[in-house]
Order: sequence, then structure tokens, then C-alpha cells
Amino acid sequence: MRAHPTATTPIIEVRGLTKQFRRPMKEPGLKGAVRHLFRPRFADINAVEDVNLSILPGESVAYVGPNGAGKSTTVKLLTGILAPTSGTVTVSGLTPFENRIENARNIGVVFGQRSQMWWDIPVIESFRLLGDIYEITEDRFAASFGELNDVLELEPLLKVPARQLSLGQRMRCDLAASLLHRPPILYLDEPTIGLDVSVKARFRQFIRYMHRERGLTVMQTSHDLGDIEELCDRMVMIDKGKIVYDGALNEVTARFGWERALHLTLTEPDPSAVETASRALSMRTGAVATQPEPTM
Amino acid sequence: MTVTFDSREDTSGELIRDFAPLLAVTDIRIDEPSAESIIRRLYEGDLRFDPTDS
Repeated sequence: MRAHPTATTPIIEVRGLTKQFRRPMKEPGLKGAVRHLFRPRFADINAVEDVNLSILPGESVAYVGPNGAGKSTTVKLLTGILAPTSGTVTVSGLTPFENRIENARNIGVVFGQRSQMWWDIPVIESFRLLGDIYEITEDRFAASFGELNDVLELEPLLKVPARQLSLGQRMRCDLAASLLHRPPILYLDEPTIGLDVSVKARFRQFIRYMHRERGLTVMQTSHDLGDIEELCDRMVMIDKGKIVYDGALNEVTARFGWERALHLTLTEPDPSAVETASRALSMRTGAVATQPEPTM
Repeated sequence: MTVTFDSREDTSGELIRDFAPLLAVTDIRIDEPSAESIIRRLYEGDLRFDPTDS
């Protein structure tokens, strides 16, 4: 599935990473607001706590967890948008929050719920602006844009302002924008949120292509297991800010997939079938017979 | 009718042998939990990554 990483030096290295946020504790109403003004109270929340993570060049890693687990905070720490409270982050040998500009040259980022395209100008102009921001030479721009244009079929969208694009079209443009400068690392934060099944399939095909053919290192957060199953052979699960699992998705299903259900169709309805089966299975402690509720 | 069981303790063949002589069964389907349902149960705290799980 992945472009089997051969390098042994991690491209992303995280050690003891903790990010603490200070949350104001206000009591409700005017009285609470006034009290908070004179005697503010705060609670320290660990959004990410003692996270250790190493990603090799060419790996494709899913970073999953329930809402509020700390996924997006981790991505923001890796991109340098946030500075850690403690611990270290090294991406391509750089500390992202201290070297934001250099780090930006090595990474592409797509946030599923935001766009990096300029809203009111034609898409091609956004690409050109990004080319200038990343100081991409004309030759490199032509080569990079040409490939992305071909693979993502952007031609019909280039003269359209981003605000007039559908969500799927916008995602294609955002992917191109994030990879225009040919970074070795791509972070995807909920990239397929809201996309229909055919656009999702196309998105996955593109990421697979870039990962396999270009050796792109991919780290993505997603609630869509299809994204993870198709694109990542390593899954890191975070819960309440801490990593609780780091391994293959199929190891999780092998580890917890022990429950089975036998669905039986009887020759004719038998009101005592559950009782009969329960008696027959009485020696087997883990087996339970039930009559499912009829579905509408 | 549905019979749920722990495949670490019993096999479907053993269970079928137990109740098949007593019930007129015409068809059987076996479901394994999907990756999605396992992940959901991990999120909800119903399953945990404890050493006892393995």
C-alpha cells in the first residue's frame, strides 16, 4: 500500500509533546462575568499529552481519534501554527514553530473545512500567487502545475473564482495548491469531510498516486475509515490527548474482532426458538441467543 | 434469531452442532464486526487497549 519506506531516519519526530491550553472558568450570568473580571479562574487542559511519534519518509499514516482527542492540535504543532508547551517536534530536521517559513517549504497542508485558495480570484491566479509565495521558478512551476493539472483535471476550473467551485472541485484545487511547491510531506486534516463517494474515490486515487509514485509522506486525520483502509497501513489512535495505539488497522480488527453473530432463518416462526437455543447453549458462557426486533 | 458469541471461546461449528438438532434452520449467515464498529466501540470506551484485550 505504501511506497515502502527505505530510509531509517524519521522525517517527522515527536518526543514528549504536550500542548496545554488555558481555559477561562466563568460562572454564568452577569455576576459570574463581573467575578471573573476581578478574580479570574482558569483550568489547564492538556490537548496533547506526552505524545511520541516517528514517521519515516514515504509512510502514509492515519491519525485518528474521537472529536476533541487532540488530532488537529497535533497537526497544528507539526505545521508550526502552534508552539508546544513541552517536548520536541522535528520535521525534516527543523523545529516547525521556530522555523515556520523553512518548514512551510517542506510541507503541504489541506484542512477539509478551510481553503487556501483566494475566494474572489480565478483559481489559476491563486496558483500563481502561491508560486510567488513559495518562490517557485517558472520552469518548476510549469512542471509541477502541469503534472497536478493533468492528474487532478483542473483545466476547466482554472478561470473560475474559488467561491464558485463545488466542494469537490475546491478540494482538487486545494490539493494542487498544497503540492505546487513539491513538498515531501503532506498533512491532511479531515480531507474528505462532506465529499460525495465519487469525489472521495478520486481524492484517494490521487493521494495513492502521489504516495506511491512520488514517495510523498502522508499524515492524515480522518473519521472516514475508507480513507484509512485505502490509503494508510499504519494507524495512530489518540484519545484524550494521549496515543493509545500505533500499528496497523487490521491488527486492531484482529485484536477486537472476536465477536461473531450467527443469524438463523427458521423454516417457520417459532416463538420458543430463543428459549430452545438458550437451553442448548447453556454450557457456553459467551453465547447469547436473541430475537432481533423486526425492522421497519 | 441471532446468536452472538465470543470466537475466542467457541466456534460457529460447535454452536451450530448444539442447537441445529433442536431447531428447523433453513439458512445461516455469520457476521464479523466491521472495522468501523470496532473503532466506534474504542472511541466510546466500550473496548480498550489493555493488555487483557489481547
